[in-house]
Amino acid sequence: MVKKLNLLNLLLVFILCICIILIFLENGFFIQGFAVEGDVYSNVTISKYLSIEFSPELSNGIVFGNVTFLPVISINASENYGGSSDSSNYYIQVSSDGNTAVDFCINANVALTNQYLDVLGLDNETYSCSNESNLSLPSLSGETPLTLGFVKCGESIAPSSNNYYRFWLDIPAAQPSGDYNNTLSFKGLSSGVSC
Amino acid sequence: MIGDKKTRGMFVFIIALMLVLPMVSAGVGISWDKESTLVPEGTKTCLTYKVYNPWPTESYVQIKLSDGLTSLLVSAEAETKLIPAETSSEEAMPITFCFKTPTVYEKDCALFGSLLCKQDCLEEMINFPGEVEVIELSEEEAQRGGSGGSTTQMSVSAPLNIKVQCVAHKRNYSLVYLVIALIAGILLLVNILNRRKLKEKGSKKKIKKRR
Repeated sequence: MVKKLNLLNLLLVFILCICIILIFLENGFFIQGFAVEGDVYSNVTISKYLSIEFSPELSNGIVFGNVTFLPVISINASENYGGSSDSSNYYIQVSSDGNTAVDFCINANVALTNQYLDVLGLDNETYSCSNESNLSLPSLSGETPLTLGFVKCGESIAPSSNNYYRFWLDIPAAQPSGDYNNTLSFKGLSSGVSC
Repeated sequence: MIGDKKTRGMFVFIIALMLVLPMVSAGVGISWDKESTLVPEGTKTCLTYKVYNPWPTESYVQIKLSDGLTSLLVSAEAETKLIPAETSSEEAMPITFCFKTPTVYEKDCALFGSLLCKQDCLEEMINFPGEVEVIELSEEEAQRGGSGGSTTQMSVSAPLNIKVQCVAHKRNYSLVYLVIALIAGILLLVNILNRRKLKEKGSKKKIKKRR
């Protein structure tokens, strides 16, 4: 009986040892490689930086004023021709403290909406942009309706340059009266990157 | 008389200040040195971007991730940060945000769907494309409501592509070996105890026989 137990114990000790060895092997505790090499690292860090600023008029918002007769088509925002030589006062400056040209994207958060939740469709608020401004630029013929998603307007604007905007509004005859508001977002990103 | 002049001067100054202040706008800048990052799946990583403001007015900014990346976001430092005026790109202030990559690659598990797993990584690398956006928060925004027209908001953004790395590994049988070793150990212990008992019984019998 005792001899049988001795044999069984020997077997169990053997199994126990094998299992422990296998656990160590499985987790690679025994394998150690010591390689001696001479490495020379090559490293480069590419940094990009850009900064933008609204013109004071754009920062103050786009105002279309009081409209008393309907319908109206393409009424001008108050500062569309407010600059010198009838240029637009709505512009975004790209800082000279930047090392990349800037693309601009624009969107509206909602359509113009009044306090009673009447909506003036987004198709009625249009814009145009140009990297220079005078009486004819940005042009009404190039107007585009605002969208909820970002759309590019102004590409590869170099540091120390401006991107100019003009805004127009159509109001149909049946539009309920009220103060209509929304928010336009302008995003500056590294040239060539999609909105 | 002098008092009148002083008062008049102050009045003119205040009026001028009131006229000029609304015409000043703040700007925002972003500086970055990586557009993609490689992160093993299921790990937390933090990235730092720098914001600056080379313009003459201080500005408040907020960092935000685009929709495709917000699901990964764990934490973002400083909801709103003030950047002093005339902060050049060299003096840019860091903003850190952390994200955790999800477990996206399928594992081949032999036991209960979660034990004895191996990962071959045969699938294509999964990317989360998006962008880091720094939004300038205008103090005037709240005051402008109800004026009729569109308020404006400005932001700058940097592209960020989060690549989730699959970490290949073989099936690890350690658990099986551990269980077998435990069973063997328990059996060994039982046998040793039985052997002691048998020895004790044997020695008692011998004593009885001698008596």
